[in-house]
Amino acid sequence: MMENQFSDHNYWTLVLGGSTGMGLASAIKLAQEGMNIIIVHRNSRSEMEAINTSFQEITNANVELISFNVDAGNADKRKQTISDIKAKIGEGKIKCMVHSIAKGNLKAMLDDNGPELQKDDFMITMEIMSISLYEWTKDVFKENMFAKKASIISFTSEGNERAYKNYSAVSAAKVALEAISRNIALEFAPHGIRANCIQAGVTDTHSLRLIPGSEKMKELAKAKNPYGRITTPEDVANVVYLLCKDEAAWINGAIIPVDGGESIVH
Amino acid sequence: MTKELILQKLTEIIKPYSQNPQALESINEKTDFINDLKINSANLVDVFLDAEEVFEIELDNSSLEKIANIHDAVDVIASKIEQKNSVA
Repeated sequence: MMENQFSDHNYWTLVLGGSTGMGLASAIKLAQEGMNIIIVHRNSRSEMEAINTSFQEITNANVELISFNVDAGNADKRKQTISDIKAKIGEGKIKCMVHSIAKGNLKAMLDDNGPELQKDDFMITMEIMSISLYEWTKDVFKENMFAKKASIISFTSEGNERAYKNYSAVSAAKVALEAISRNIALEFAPHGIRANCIQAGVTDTHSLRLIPGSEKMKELAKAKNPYGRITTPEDVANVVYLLCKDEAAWINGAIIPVDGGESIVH
Repeated sequence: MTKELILQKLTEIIKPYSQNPQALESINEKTDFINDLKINSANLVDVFLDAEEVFEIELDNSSLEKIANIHDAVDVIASKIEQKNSVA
């Protein structure tokens, strides 16, 4: 039988924000490729039925799944969760960490009809969508839980260079996320950890649908995409898988467009 | 569970999210989540997710839509607890 880079070593992937969208699709893809999965998510009880159905796609792949319904942005909860994970899987087993946390403010800077963007909107959005990447990386590292060669992947968007109304707090958070990812790539490289951002094209996820004008964004993206369609969470998950493989070891500190070429067309 | 106890537990839940300690001190039925307690709209969902955990109830979207102030929240939580107990 062919060697499996993941299951032969009993490796795990930790997905932060893995109950829907790109995080969930990544978890499913990696499970199908032999990776055990830990998902940290934050959902209401009424959402759990649908989420448990999605999680079955992971367990159907005959890998282990551990999930935590906690606030990944809360420091006490983070430390407790990491300690619970360590008790279960021990040291040196986390091959991949996927950061897919979407929580933030979508207020406009100026708005005649509603609340306008304030300082605390920026702070809350950046804390959870960017700085949490560093905090989770650091704590998992300090507990010696990463594998000898590990991959950290986070999700940015075209909002890193472009302005969209209502998107300024998230845009700022994405740029900060990229900067943090680059510094992880630099400072953790001696420890075998590489960090990269995937810049997905417009993808129809729950988070996208919360953005005012997202229908228009989808239409425009579809019209300009060389393949005539928008990106799916599965397109993104496939590249997450590639980045987890040891053959991707020399990709470090990069921002990788995964959009069928959408971003090269103006 | 009495409404006083619900309010007491709810105040504990709100504490880390409120950006106005004075309103938290003088919390009462008329206290509004956003205007008085200055809870960021992104954190409002956290208050109710934490409440689900603390009170062991399910807060569906239709009951959340009815909540603007503390009075509404205590009411909804009390009725959900009652519902749970009558089923169990």
